[in-house]
Amino acid sequence: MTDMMKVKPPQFPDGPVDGAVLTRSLSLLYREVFSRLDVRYPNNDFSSGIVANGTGGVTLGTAAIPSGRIVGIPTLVTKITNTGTAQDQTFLPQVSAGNKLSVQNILALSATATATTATITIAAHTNQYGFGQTSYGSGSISGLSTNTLYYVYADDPTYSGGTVTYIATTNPQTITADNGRYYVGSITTPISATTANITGATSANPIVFQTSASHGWSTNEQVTFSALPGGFGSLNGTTKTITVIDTTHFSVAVDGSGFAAYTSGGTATRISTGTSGGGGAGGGGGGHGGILP
Amino acid sequence: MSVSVKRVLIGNDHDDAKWIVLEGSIEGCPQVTKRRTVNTAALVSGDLTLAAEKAQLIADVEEYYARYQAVQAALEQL
Repeated sequence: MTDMMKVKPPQFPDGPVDGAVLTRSLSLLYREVFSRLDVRYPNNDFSSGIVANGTGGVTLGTAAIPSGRIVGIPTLVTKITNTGTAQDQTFLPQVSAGNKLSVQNILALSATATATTATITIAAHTNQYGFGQTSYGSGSISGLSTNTLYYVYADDPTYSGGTVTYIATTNPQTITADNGRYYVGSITTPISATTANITGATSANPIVFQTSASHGWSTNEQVTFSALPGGFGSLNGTTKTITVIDTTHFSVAVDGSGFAAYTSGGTATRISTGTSGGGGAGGGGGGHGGILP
Repeated sequence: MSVSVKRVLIGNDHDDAKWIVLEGSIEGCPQVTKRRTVNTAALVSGDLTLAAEKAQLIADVEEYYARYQAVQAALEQL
C-alpha cells in the first residue's frame, strides 16, 4: 500500500505564487491522495481487498487474506451459510463427518445396589478424538435410585480430562444441554437387594414359599436362602431363580416332596447383580462410541 | 501417606444443591485423585451418611494408591 506520507507535495517556484496555479496544484494533490483511499477507485492500492458494493458499503475482495493464511476471506466464508451454519459436511474434518466423533477405550460404567440406593462407578478411561486423546480419571456417583436408567456426563469444555465431576441424570436431554458437556454413557442401575421373611413352604415340586409381607419381586429374578428349617435347609446358601405366584408367594424349581413339613423361620434375599453401561461420547453406531439407547 | 478430602463445587446453584461432590487426593500423587458425587436427597433421607461416603472415598483412593505404588515398585525392577 502507498505510504501517504511519501506522496510528494506540488513544487512551486520561488517568489510570488499565482493563486490560480496554487489552487490547481492543491486540487491535483488532493485528487491523488483521496483517490488512493477511495474503495470505489479501481486503481487504488487495495482495490482487490476492499471493494465498494454500490450501496454505500464495502465487500472484502480476494486479496483480503487473514494474517498467516494463504486463502482469501471470501474463499473461507463460502463454507458458511448466511445464517452462520456450515454450508455442507465438508466444513467438518473427515473424522467427524464420515466417522465417529470420538471413541472410548473401554466401557467405563458399572453399577451396584444395596437395599435402598445404587452407586454408579466410572472407571478411568481414554477418549480418542481426531486431534488426539483425552484421559479421564475414575469416579463414582452414589445415592441413586435402583433399577433406573441413568445418563452419566461430565463438564469438560476444554478437553482437559483428568479429575472431573461425574453427574447422573434420568433426562437424556441434559447431556446435551451445555456445549462443554462430555457424555460418558448410560446404565441401568441394579434392582435392590431386598430380604423377605419366609413364613411358609410347601413340601412339593416345585416348592412354593410364602413371605410375611409383599416381596415386590419379579419372575426370573434370583434369591438366596438362609436359615430355612428341616429339609428346606438344604437350600440355605444356594441361589435359585424364582417364579412369582403373587405378592406373597413364589416358587423355585426344587423338588421338596420328600421334605418334612415346614415349621418356621428362614429368609430369602433377592440378589442385586451389578450392571454394565453402554458407552457414550462419539457419533454413529457400534463399538464403544455411540448413540443414545 | 494420608488421604485429604475436600468438597468441590460444581459451579451452579442447582447442581450444588442436588449433589455434594467430595474429592479425595494424596499429595504428590495426582494419579489417584478421585471424586465421589453424592446425591444430597439420599443423605437427607438417611439412606446414606456423609461419614460413610467420605470413608468409602478414602478407601477407594487408598486402593488406587496401593496399586499405584505397586506399579512404581515393579517399574523399578525393569
